[in-house]
Amino acid sequence: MLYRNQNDLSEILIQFDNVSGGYEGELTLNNINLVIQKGEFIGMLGPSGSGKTTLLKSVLGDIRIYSGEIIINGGNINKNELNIGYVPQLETIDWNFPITVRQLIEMGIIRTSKYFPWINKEEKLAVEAISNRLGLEELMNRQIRELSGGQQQRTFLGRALVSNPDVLILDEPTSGVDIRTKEEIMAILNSLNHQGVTILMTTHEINSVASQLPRVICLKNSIIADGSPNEIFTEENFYATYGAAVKTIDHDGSKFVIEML
Amino acid sequence: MIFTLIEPLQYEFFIKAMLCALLVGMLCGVIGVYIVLRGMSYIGHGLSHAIFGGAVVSSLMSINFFIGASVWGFVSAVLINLATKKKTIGADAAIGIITTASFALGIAIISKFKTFTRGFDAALFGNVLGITNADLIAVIFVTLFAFIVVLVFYKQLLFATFDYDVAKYYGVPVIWIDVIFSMTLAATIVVSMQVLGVTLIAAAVVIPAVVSRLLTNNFLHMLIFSTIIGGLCGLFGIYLSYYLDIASGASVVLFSSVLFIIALLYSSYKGRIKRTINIRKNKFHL
Repeated sequence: MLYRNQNDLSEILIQFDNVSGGYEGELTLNNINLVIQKGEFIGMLGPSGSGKTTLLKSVLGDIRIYSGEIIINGGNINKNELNIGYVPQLETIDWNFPITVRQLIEMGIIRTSKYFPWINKEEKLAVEAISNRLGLEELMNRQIRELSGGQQQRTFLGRALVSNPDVLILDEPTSGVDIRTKEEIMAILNSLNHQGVTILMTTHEINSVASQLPRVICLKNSIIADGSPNEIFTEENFYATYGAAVKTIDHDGSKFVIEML
Repeated sequence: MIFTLIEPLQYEFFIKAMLCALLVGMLCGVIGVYIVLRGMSYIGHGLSHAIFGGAVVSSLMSINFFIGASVWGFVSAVLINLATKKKTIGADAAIGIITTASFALGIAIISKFKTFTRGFDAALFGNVLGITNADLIAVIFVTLFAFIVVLVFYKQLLFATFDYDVAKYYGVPVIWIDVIFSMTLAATIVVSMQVLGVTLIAAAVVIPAVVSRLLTNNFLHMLIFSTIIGGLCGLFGIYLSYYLDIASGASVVLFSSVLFIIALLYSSYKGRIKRTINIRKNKFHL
């Protein structure tokens, strides 16, 4: 299924202006120029170590910027003031942790309610609203291990969305899940994007995920290509990104990639 | 019969010991939840050894035990936390190195200045029946402090314990939360040493939390259960020690261990019942 952007993309949310950065002296991002409009749905492709997660973390303010700058809302607000909903890779989660769906979603409230130990009535309503929106209302008292892959991802989305973030950042949201769950996750993300949520995600799945997105960025420490899959899915771009030969084919209005092993 | 049961309650020192053990049990119970869920169960054992080194040094320098040992414990806890964040060193290795070095320092000083060896028997093996009013006040103060920390920073502590890296992206000041937690943990170990002794603190910290984990999948319930179970273990452990005429610290830990076995059996039984229900449900659906 092709996900088409239906939002008005006229407002710049995040702008990378010649950004170079990384961790502990390593240059993971090199000269990044990138504009993310409010309401966009962007996927990032690239091999392991290409800087996809580092780019996400640069928006989260967790890497060292050596040169250039990241401008938020045209420089109107500080990076720390940008309300970000972050969904980590599910493979990093401790599923044995004794936490229910409700408790996990409530964690997301922390950004807007730092000073009170318990959530108030208004926040409770926000938790109820997001759980209804994501179809989690029947699962609120379940421990996170007792959920299916799709339900688990929806719970983490609930935590990220409960404080109405300016942007939703997801690190490989479809990694390690079956085809049906992948479809379910992507349908939810698409629906959220149609409701105006800006989404920035990384993925390793070229055909089943990236080829369906409105905008894809190919990254190998610097930006190799940026545009719609139909524009940038070329054999040259994939060779430059992955260092591997691929063939691209058109099918049903979309471009797909065949690995040449 | 009733007289036999209330017999120990006629002694003031015993009532003081029971109150102290109840509070220490609750304190270890609530802190233990975070320790167990952070995968740092060994820290209670290690930190108590580290603090032993601090206690010896403060005695040598004529510094108040609570102040000297607390500062030493806090520094050790912060060092352990920092070393644990370094992914190349496991939490167990970090705890092992830092705390054993500190314990060794204490032993080295004791062997050099043999004069104050006797005073440290209580720190090593606990002496709940010799609790002074000052010890009791310290226990009350630290218990109140710990419960206030857990209440005020409930959300932050939960988030940082569940997912440390992501918590900072949601605005949780993880470093400060670590500092506050390390301070509370160090204070907990220092006041518990007099009751349980260096060698038995680990069990008092870990067992109530593990028993609670076996009983619930809900974090808040785990926190409440662990506090209650810790308190009961302290109370009944001391009570039993009177009748069985055994060391109070050992009695507390043995009582906790029995609860652990019961919880383990219950949890296995519950798991089997649940699996059977699921199999029947699946058969029905087929």
